[in-house]
Amino acid sequence: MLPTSQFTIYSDQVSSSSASASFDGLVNTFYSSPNTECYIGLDAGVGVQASISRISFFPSLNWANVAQVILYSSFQGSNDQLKWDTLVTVDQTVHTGWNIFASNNITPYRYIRFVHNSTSKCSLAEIKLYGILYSTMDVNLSSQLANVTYNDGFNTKTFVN
Amino acid sequence: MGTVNITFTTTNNYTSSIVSIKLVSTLDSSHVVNVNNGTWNTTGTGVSANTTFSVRLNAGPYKLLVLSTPYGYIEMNQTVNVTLPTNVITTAQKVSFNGGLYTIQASRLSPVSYISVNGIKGAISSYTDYSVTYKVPPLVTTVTQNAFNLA
Repeated sequence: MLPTSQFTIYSDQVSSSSASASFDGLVNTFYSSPNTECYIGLDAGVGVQASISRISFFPSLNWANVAQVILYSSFQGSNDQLKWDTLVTVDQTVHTGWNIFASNNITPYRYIRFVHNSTSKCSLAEIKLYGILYSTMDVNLSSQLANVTYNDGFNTKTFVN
Repeated sequence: MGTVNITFTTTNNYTSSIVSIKLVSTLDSSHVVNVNNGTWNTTGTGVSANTTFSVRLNAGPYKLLVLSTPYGYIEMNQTVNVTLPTNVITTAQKVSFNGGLYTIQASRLSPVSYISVNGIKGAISSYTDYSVTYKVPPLVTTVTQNAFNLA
């Protein structure tokens, strides 16, 4: 599983902090958007991309019939937030509790998101991504110098190598 | 080492007493530093009450949390930020493309800190008051993945 701490959480509500509810490990908290089109996703950051092999998610406990709410919603990947490619389309097999879908696309992307509309309000209680984190830097296989950055939430210090 | 003054303003005339004082890391709330019971000192009463205490903190940001009776927890809005020590020592260290360990020597680095190498985070592997060793993540790129199947 890819650690959520590696990513920055974002959503269609710029100032909303509730987006983290879909990644907090609690199935009774969830994101909810008031917008016509909604999305909630993860940004791997500059120089990092995630190749997604499968996605698991836990729909809102408030949905009696999950398929009725999020059928044909999708998970998408992008490297520029302009062109989005589909990784997973939610089909009729979706149900209450944990769902696991294999990704149809293992291309590495910086941005991964769940996207839908006001029917669901993107109210997923939990989302987990599985795959590999890639660095986009150019390397040669004889040796590679890399800087190390320390971070404790207040102090940031880069050790240049 | 330093002194921070934190002011709470009372909005009523009720009396309360402090049960515990703790500082919680804003990076990881599992890192809590408790002020030893009974080591704080309160002078004055009501709006003139002044409580002082001493605590050793590692580098990083903290919120102050005071448990009072009978009114429960009081949390301050401001953050106490502890700067990095000046005696940080590190050298270039070799690891493989599949990752490894990286050590930073300094007193009282944060036990919930992390490093980033090529943008990917590495967590703490071992921690002492004087030295912290972090896991260096594998350098997975299309080139290294094709050559070594690193992950």
